[in-house]
Amino acid sequence: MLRVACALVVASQLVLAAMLLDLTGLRAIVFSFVGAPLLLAAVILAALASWRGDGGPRGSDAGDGAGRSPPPGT
Amino acid sequence: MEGAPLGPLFALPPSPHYLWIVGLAFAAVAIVVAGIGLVWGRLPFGWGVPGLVLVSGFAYVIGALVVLEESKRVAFCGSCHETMSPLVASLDEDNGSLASKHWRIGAVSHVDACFQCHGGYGIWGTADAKLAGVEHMLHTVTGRYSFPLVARKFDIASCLGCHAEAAPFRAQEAHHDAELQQALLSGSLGCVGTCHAEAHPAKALVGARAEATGAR
Repeated sequence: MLRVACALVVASQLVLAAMLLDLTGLRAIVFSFVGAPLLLAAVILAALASWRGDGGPRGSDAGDGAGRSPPPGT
Repeated sequence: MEGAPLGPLFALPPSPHYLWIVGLAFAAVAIVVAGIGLVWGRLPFGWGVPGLVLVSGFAYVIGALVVLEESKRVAFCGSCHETMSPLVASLDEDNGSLASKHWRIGAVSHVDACFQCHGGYGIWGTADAKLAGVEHMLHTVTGRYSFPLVARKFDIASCLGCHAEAAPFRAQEAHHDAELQQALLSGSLGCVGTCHAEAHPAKALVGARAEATGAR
């Protein structure tokens, strides 16, 4: 889920960068109606990933199990 | 559009703003961090999800500010080729339209002339203009527009903001008529198309394709 969120962030930021480099009506439309929804979707997915402990430093620990409490008896 | 340069004496001082560079920098950081997150499946440099969301969101806020500011420019309006480019091109022509007259004598800025007249007056004029801009974008996306273009609403305060205090305007007998003033202020009557010339030439309101066809 975090990977999808990151992909959406990259896509939205590329749309933004293209618009900042050369602002035209078409690019402003893409920024408003494509880039912004992409970023919104990314934020929602990232929030879900964070809630599930699927991202960030805690998430990275969770990914390899190093951040979790050791199972009893180990 | 741009005439021959007249030299430093008549060159307007540049007024650049560098907000777009700040936005680009934040976007670049967000792209790098999210790119690494995409490949690794976790965020680098101790970044949490909130950090990524904040940086990418802040970049978008700056992008929105840049759009709000830069969309005032005539070049931005003219970049919508089919609908607006004939209107912008007609400003340079000596066609007798009000827009052309104002443009050619320098009564409106050549940087943001469209916004000066269509933006209304004061802060609410600006807010209305931005809302109208969003409507224009929606019309473009949905294709819900037709030619010839018609201005459904024009804030007469844009005219009066400059002309109301001008001596030639006040000396004009017709402008003293109370009924006329009331009609103008209520919006039931406009300056253009009644007493004064059309704002834009009719051939510039039919779109770039039709104009090109008509020119052949």
